[in-house]
Amino acid sequence: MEFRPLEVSELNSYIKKILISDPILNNIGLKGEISNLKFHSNGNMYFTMKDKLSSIKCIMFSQNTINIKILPQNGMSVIANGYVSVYEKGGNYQLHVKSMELNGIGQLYVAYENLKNKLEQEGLFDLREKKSLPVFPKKVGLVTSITGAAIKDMISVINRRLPSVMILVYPVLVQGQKAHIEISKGLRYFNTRDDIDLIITGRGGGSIEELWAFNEEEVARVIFESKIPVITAVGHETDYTIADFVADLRAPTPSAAGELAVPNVNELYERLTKLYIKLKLFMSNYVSSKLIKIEYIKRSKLFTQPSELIKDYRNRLHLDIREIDMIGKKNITNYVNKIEKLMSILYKLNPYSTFLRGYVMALDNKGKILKSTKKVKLGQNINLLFRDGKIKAKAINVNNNSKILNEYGMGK
Amino acid sequence: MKKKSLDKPFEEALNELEKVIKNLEEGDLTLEESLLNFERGVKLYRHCNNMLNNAEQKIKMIIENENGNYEEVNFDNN
Repeated sequence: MEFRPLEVSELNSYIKKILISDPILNNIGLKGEISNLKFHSNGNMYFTMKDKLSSIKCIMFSQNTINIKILPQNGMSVIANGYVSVYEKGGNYQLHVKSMELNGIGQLYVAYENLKNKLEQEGLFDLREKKSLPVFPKKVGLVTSITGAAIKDMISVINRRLPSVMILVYPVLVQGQKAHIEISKGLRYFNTRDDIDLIITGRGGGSIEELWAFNEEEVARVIFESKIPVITAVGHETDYTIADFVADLRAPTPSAAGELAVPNVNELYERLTKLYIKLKLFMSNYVSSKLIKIEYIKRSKLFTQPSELIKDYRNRLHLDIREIDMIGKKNITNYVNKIEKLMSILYKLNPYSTFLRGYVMALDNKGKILKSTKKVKLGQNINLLFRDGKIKAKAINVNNNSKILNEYGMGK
Repeated sequence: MKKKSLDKPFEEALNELEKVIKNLEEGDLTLEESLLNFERGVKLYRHCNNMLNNAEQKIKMIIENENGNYEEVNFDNN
């Protein structure tokens, strides 16, 4: 049997049909190392996956890359899930990647560091963002697994320290694929209520994979956005997860979280009792000091010998009056002297007193005082003012001489 | 000053009690003011004390039902 020759495109199309209908190739997980990684501007990601012997071209479309949890890098060891298909135009087959995860623990650390750096730069670890914890929480929300020692530790410590607190448990898986989704949901749930004072989320110790939910970006962001303060308690003292960095407070262990979450009721009783004693003591001191004052007043002269007191006051009054009298007289003399002095000064300054002593004032036509011969022209009419009248005169000789007073013995 | 029972968070009540005592010790108050402060202090003390004594020890678990609503059920911690 012989077929007619095929067109190139027919062949590629046929190969594609065979490949995409293969049940294994249709849904495979592929382990390998990323190389030739290119991010296209349309959001698609192109790369090659290789092992020691071989390589395959891969494409990841933008609708899938947005869900990716890791930041792919050349040399990164990953597991890519997807299907094999053919690029008909070029006749090459490639892996269409739908999801991708890290392969191996070493790679988890890379993801941890990447996310940690990213969130730190965004300011999610900023100390200024940390909320302060309530001193006396009434309701505490726990987001943790209801199996295991962690929840028992938290509850028993909280109840021992502060029996009045109400504990609300939001049960979640704390490990596995969906753990971070449940934890985030629990944290969000408590934030929909307005009666929760504090949230604790965490779990007991485990491997890095087991603690991984607390290294997920979603959990970190929900903690950051929480309006209720969050304490994290993940694993043992040496385990630091991303959630711990974002939390308002990191507790080294679940039972330590209980200690940090609530105050010790006995310490509060002690503090309260001290205040009460102070209050009562103050009041009794206050009252007794007033009683002493009253006693003192009762013993004063006013009550015991009122007439003596009146006599005292009368004597003092007499003395005071005498003193006031003396001071008054002295003051009057002083004032009289002062007034006389002022009067004589005033008298000297009175321009008319100079007329009395025989001085004459020369005025021009407008009544302005002539203080200098320079102001007077030859033949000008001037008025001479006397104490008892005035004379109209004419300047028949003007002799400017600034020293003239000296000749009359009146200069300075 | 309120006559009815206080509805104050513990730490606020405790802080106010401390303030009342400071007022009494530092302030030069009249007898009437002192008595009012004292009365307030005793009330705050009783309120705080009641809150500490209120040891109900409630533990509840949040359950999401089929309708997506949340319920609180008693939680057995053993």
